[in-house]
Amino acid sequence: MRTSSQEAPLPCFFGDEAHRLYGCHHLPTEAARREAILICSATAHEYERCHRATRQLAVQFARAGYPALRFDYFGTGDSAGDYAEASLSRWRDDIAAAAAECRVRSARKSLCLAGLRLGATLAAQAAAALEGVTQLVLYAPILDGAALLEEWGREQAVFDGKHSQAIRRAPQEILGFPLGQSFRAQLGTGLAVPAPAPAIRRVLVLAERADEPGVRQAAAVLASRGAAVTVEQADGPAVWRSEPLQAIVPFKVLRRIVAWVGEGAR
Amino acid sequence: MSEEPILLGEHGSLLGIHTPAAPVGAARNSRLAMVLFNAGLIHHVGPGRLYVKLARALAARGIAAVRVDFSGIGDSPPRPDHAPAHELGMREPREMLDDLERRGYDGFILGGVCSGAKHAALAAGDPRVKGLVLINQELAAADPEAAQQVSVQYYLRRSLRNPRAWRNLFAGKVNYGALFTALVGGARRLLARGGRRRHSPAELLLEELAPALGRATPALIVLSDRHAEVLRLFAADFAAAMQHHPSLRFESNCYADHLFTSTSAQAALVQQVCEWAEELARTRAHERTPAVAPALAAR
Repeated sequence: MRTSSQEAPLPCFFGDEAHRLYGCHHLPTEAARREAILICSATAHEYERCHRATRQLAVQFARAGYPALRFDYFGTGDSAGDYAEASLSRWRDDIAAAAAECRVRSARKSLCLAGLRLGATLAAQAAAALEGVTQLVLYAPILDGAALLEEWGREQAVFDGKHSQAIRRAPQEILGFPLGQSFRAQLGTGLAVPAPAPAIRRVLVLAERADEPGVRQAAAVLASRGAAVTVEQADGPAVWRSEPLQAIVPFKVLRRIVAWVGEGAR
Repeated sequence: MSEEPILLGEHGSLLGIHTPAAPVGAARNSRLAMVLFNAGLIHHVGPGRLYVKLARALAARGIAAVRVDFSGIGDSPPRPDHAPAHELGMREPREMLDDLERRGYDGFILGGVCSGAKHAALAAGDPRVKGLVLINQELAAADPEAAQQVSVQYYLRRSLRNPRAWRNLFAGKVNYGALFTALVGGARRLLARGGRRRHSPAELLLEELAPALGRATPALIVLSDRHAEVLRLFAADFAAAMQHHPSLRFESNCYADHLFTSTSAQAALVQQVCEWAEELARTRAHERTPAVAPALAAR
């Protein structure tokens, strides 16, 4: 029987002094597996909405015997920096730094990267240049930056409509997170999913709409070097669109992710 | 700035991120730390990263801060002793302060947004609490009549100014039944009690904070969105409260929503809290100096 204290994550800061990143390392509570899991969070306002789900994913992995590290990108959560200074390339570097930290803490060479929303896209991009990544889970990846900006713009409009008492905000801010021209440009052009590194044997894409052309196209690219790609419809609530105070957890999706990673364990 | 994770509480399972004070400013010798409690189920980073910004801004002014997660929230696991939730709101703040006291702090400013403010108010009786920052605490919640009155006023004022609300009204996109029930129900209740209140939110707040106010503990109460409506509706009561308790300070911000979502609203709040806390810490450091000075001189 596990106790909650056994499931307590080990909080830590890592990385160089000027860009320290915050992470939580979840130790396996069952017989340990050979692979460690690195969880790449959602970003901006979606980070907060998905935090509980992200934590639960790490807990589920730990219960299944995997050491798991989740972390905050530069300028997000408890990590150093301001969101306005962040960039996609900086966040890809953060994934590489977190992967190194995950290997050291877990004493595993083999890694599975599991990302959510923009974190999924960044994980796929970063994994192409990382050694030892054998499996990749992309949960609701962002494949179209323009569509993401439209969606976030609509969310901001709904917020503005609810709060007519002239809430002051910067013109390019989305729900409290500055989104300057440079970052918008990166989102517009920098979200292509690359062909994976040869070591990546399996990829799971849990898409909001599995039949979208963008998803099929990304799946084809991901399969181009021989990885077995599974595309499924994510069977759960879109937590990144819920209010943060609701703290929803899509347990069915999380269980599916953990089971899928287990199926691919050597 | 070197932040560190710390584990607090009876079981060492409550996560806190400690932001030590920079060795600057008049507040640096205050041995005072601000403790920030979860806003509902939002983890210790705070809504829109507000607590991170506030903690770092305070530290840069010489005041330490710790943003914490209660059991089962954020990065703290559920308690192994399965204590009931209603007890935790009382026990866990005390356990946190015990541990922080062992780290060398001897005075605390408790604060938070929404339920974080409520937990800070509940813990205010602890003599180690030297200040309170209560942001958007539900002041009218304990009195259903006051809550109803505030809701009706808030939605009326908000809707009257909102072109979209008028469009929806005429386009049949509102729940007329609910609107009618709210307005008529409110009016009926008001007539039935002849315009007299049984309780005022100001009275309820004073009652809640009585142990702290008895020690003249300074409290900064910041209200925005519908919470600011409470301040407006019961302005006379709150003015009287401030007259009786000069350590109480109320601030309203009509440009912010409940969670201070926009960066400008956050920046204004951070500035406001920092200035208030710095003044408190400066006074405390000054009071402490005469006692410390002879000891140092004797060495």
